[in-house]
Amino acid sequence: MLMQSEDGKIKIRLFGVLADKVSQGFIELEFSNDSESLLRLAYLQFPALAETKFILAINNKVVNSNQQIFKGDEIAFLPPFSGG
Amino acid sequence: MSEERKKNKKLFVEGPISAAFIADSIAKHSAKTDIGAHQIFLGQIRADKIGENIVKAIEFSAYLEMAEDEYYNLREYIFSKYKLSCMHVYHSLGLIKAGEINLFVFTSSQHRNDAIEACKEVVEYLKKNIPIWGKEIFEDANYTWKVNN
Repeated sequence: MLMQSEDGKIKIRLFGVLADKVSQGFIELEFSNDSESLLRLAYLQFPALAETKFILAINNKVVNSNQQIFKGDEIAFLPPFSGG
Repeated sequence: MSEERKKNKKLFVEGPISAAFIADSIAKHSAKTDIGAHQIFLGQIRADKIGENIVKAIEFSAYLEMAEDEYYNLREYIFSKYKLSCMHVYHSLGLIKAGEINLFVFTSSQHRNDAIEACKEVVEYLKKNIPIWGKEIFEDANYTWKVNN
């Protein structure tokens, strides 16, 4: 999936209850250089995201501390897993 | 790494896992005569009562690309920790009704301990690390998102 919009925005995939909160499977935000600033921007523009606990994944890996973001990275917000 | 580990294994199946599929998986191992023990875990959809509502089905979805990566990591980890002859894990996607099977974990080894312990650890790892979500659908079509204990 192409995660970079033509206007330089970054597309973030949402799953489970998070997709419900904004009624779609992704959101678009201005590009941020690191995960913490991206999260701040996400909460600011989509306050409904704050109603649910979630973690951030960059290129299929869970991010545990602030991490740099590069153009073309695939970013996803993941609510608590409930498989099994 | 053994040939068994390197195989590109599929984790997800669309819809419930049938008894016939499970029986067929068992039958396929009769040619592997170094195996002395099989352990199987089956996850079944429970008609939980949540408040006044009864769960009729769970609809499973996943972050497929990440789930495949995590499943690969899981296989690497389990095969490095236990002496297994083989391992198969299947998780359903889509709508699975109460009473149907949505998870099938099947581990085989020469002696019982490796199969038993590996199977248990696969289930715990999967619940914790593989990005799958269950939407619990009630009889009146309302729903809530499943929370794992």
